[in-house]
Amino acid sequence: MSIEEYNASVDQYSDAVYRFILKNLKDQDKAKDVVQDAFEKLWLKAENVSYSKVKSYLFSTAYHTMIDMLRKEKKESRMQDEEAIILSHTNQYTDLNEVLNKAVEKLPESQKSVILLRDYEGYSYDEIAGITGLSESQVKVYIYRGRKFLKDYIGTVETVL
Amino acid sequence: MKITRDNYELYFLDFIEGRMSEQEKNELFLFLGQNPDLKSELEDYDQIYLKPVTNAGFENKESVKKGGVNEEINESNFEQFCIAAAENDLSDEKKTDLLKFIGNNSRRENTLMLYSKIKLSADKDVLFERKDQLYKRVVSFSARTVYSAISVAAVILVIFSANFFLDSHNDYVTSPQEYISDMKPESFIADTIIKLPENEVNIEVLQSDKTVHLAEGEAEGEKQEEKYTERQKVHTETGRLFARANTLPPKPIPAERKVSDPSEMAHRLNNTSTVPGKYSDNRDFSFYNFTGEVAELFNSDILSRNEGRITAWDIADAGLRGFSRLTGKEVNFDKDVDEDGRIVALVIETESFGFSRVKGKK
Repeated sequence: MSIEEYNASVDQYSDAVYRFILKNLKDQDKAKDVVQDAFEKLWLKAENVSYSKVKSYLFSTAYHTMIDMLRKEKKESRMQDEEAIILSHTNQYTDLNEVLNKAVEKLPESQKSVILLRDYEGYSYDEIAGITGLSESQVKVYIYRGRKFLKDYIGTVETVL
Repeated sequence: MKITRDNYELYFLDFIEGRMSEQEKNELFLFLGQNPDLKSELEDYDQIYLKPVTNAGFENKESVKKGGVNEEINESNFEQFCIAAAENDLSDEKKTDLLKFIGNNSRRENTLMLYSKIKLSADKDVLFERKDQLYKRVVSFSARTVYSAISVAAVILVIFSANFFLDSHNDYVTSPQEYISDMKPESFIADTIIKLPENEVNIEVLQSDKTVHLAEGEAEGEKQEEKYTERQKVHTETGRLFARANTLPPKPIPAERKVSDPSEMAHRLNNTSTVPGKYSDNRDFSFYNFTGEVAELFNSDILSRNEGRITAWDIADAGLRGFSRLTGKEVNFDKDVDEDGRIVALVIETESFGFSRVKGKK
């Protein structure tokens, strides 16, 4: 990958990676650090990463850096606890995005990441597996469980209509 | 190994778990016959093992089974069909099955609709603000750039060389350097060395008495200082020095200092004398010190300003002006820049030559 391609990848992908990480971490400074770290790693490996693989490389690097960060901060256990909570609500939302964003915050980390990659970037199961290091069947299961969770959180279609 | 009261537990365990041969069992029974008090203990061992209940089972297996989308659609796998439909994982055939299963059932219809709406969308207003810290700058020198720089340097060198040597054949003296370079500063008499035009009237001879303090060790006996007279011929209008003379006895010049480089000679003179009267300000005569002058220009014009980075052109400009003052020749070096600050044309003018180049023209 040339320096021009590297700089082009900054323009093309830094925003998307940042949004993905920010949605998971909910901390702007940390999200920026993760993105910056991912690009520094990309630059160090620039000779070995082809331009066609840059996007996956960035998402994968940022994802694993984020997971390491979360583990260090012991947020993982807290999120696992949240997974066991059966959530329901009676609020009336007028905006589906509003309720979805609230619901996605309740998802376990593994489910949240794969759904964000699926919805934000349109990655296939195979690509998500490559980014996260999960098997394709695991990715599919997480996405199905995540969708089910989001649907149960929202309740009925009348809630958002 | 023989069964004793010290190791019988191992044999009891093997017996209960069925790991004994017939011969070992016979040995164990013989041992129990000899130690009847341990029979009850063997019976207790037997009771501590949990036995699986084989006659009980979950009767509602079918009610909790989850069928995948590869199976026929039913109530238990309906939501998986809905999710698969939203994920676009269903074949056309399965989609048809799903729609048939939904039929007129509004609850199922709403469930499918809800799943189809559960798609997260990124907020495009959220942008990464540190892009500038990520870009890598390209630092490259094209052959054209290098050749341009070399050609400019060569032109400057040629112009100066030609201008300098051509003017040295003129009778009229406008610069003292070529003469000073030949002078022996310790003993020369200016009038005999410098050729002045017959009709030159703007030359003023400045004379002053001076005292030189000899450094300790150089003086012989008690003689620590020496008086002398310094004479300088100066152009009254331009202030240019034409000659300097003094009455100090000559000193031997070290071989390594016998140089003809005018700038070094000027530097040496400049550092060993001052000029009286209106020229007593050392700064007025510092132009004879080329390196000092360039340094001064560099400091005053370049380093002391706060307008971005210093370019090679700034340094070249300072160098040319230093040469200009040293040689007494008027040399104009200028460049035209466009709105973005890029150099579009170069102009170099001397009394004898003029040179200009528009960047991009061949």
